[in-house]
Amino acid sequence: MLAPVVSKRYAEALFAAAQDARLVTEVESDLMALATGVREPAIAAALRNPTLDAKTQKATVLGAVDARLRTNLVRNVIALAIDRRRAEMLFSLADAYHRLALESRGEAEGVVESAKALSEAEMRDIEATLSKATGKRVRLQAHVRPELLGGLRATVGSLRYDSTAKTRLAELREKLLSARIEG
Amino acid sequence: MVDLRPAEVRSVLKKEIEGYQGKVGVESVGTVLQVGDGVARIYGLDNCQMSELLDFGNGVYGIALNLEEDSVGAVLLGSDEGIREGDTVRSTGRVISVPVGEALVGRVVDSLGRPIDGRGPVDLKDYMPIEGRAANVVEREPVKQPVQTGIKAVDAMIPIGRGQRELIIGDRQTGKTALIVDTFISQKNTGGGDPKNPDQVICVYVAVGQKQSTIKDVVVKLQENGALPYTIVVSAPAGAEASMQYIAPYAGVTMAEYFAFRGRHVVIAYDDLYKHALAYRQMSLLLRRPPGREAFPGDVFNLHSRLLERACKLSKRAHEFNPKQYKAGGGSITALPVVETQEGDVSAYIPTNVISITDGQIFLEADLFYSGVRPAVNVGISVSRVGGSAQVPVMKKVAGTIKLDLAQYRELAAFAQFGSDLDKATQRQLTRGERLVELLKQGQYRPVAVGEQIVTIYAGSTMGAFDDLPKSAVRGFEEHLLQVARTKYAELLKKLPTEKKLTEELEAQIKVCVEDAKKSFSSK
Repeated sequence: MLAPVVSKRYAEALFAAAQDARLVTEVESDLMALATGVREPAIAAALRNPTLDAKTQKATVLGAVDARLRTNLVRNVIALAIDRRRAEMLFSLADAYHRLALESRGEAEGVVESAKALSEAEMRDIEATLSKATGKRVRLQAHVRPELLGGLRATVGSLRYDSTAKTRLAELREKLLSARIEG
Repeated sequence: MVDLRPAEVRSVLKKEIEGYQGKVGVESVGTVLQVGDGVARIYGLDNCQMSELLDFGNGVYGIALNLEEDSVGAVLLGSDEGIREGDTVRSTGRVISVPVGEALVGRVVDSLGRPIDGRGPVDLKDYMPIEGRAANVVEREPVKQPVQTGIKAVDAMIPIGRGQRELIIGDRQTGKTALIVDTFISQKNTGGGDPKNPDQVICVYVAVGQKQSTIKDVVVKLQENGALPYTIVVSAPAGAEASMQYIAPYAGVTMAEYFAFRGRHVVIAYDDLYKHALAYRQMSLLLRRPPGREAFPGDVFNLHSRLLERACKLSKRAHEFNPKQYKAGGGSITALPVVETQEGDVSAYIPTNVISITDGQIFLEADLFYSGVRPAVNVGISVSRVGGSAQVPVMKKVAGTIKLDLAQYRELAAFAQFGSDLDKATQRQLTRGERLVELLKQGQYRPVAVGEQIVTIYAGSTMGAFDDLPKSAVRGFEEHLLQVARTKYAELLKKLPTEKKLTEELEAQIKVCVEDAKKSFSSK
């Protein structure tokens, strides 16, 4: 439960350091490499194994990802996290950092779900509309979900824009069930 | 379950068709991270407010209570069955509210104002948030009108005023609920039991953590005695979710405020606040709030003080100061919180808290109860800090002597147990005291009107008219006296509660009445 809170703290510190060194995007891509690295079962197991000492753990992680790292900052974070017994946090560090980076660039990521696949032009149109509504440059990932029946549903952060037929039908159902004669 | 009528279906569909174009719902959503034991932890819901209503889907709602860095802690107002990790939670933008209005009177509802008495839906359009602002200093005025409980011991010695907060405290099975039921029944005298009559005091009974059977009992007793038509019962029984028990008193006082803010008088009983505190403790611990003394959370005092602060006597001009909130001035909410003690221990955490918040307390004692003194009010340690100024003037004068008589009796009774040789004066005090204790006994569901109370207490205390009767005849003579008073001196009974002062002339009239009764009683 605590991991997101901890990784957010480390991500904030790392982000500040990266900004000072003007390496924000490099660190971001390094963290992506780290995230794919630690997802491998062998490395994840090593990080979570309490019988291994810090030196071995560091060697295992760096051995797997060192070639792909372009900045020393990320190498230092890995070492620091392991020394402080916060290795668990490395699994969610990339996500936390990514959110910070997006925020600083005035961008937001979201999901758009629709019953049928959307065209390029439609996607751009929706992105533009949502960008205007949220005040951030929105990039959307598209998913096709036939169970929505029609319309579309876009989620950016915790904001949801919903015009799907499924929701409309659910609302109508509620209204019919609670209907009463007025007057 | 579903009972659709074609006309309604048509009107709903018509509205839907007319407004179909371009409708996009915007809402704030979150994801359930964890759910269990009636609480949920939710990720997302960025703009969630404190105590906002959250929609978990399938008709289950929750209240947001913990707003944390990256999650929201909420309690569920219903079963957590069917809610799964990863489910979407929608914020409603509304803080938790209950329906209010005239239609609630005479009904039994749950903490959310939904009827549970099987008498059809409650037709209400107005909603008020359950956490309201208590009236401030300028909007209030001192307590000055009485609430007649119809119980001799209380009305004479521990008078309660409209707008007062009087705690009813005692062990289990000492008659706490009975005292409330009697008080409610007695309110029929204010407006004939017609809730439409502006003089009728409205009663609200909030049952928190009570057995369903007890609640049913109260409802039946109120109904049998004609008190239900002007009473709202808010029921959060022992089996209800802790969250429902937690909000019940706030829901009840909100329903009461609707009337008080329109110039009406309301008596509200919270039965009981100890169980309320237990429900809140459960919620707080599950929400991982830090525990304090007896594992209650740090704000358990505020939990009750903010509730009881909403009891008020509103100024006649309250609606001029704050026209948005008050439709008319002069209304009141009298709060009768109940706290159950364990083995008479009033120095436990919750009892001391509530004692310090209220304007006095009525102690009910198991020993008295079992020795046959019912209502088992211990008049020695019961107090009313503000009720005195609200007492009927004549009653105040008459009750002054009974208080003194009883205090002296209690002192002497302790001594008299040891010695048998007592002087005349002491013996007289003891007889008087015994007769008065007997006189203050009263059957359940039989409230006595103020005028009648004054006559009996004057006869017993100032005149000592019971002193020469055997103890066993006291009840009989009291009944006879009231019978005589009702038939031959109805005018006097009617006059007594409204008189400003106990004049000699008035005293003479009471004396005539008592002596008349005495004569006919001894000849019987």
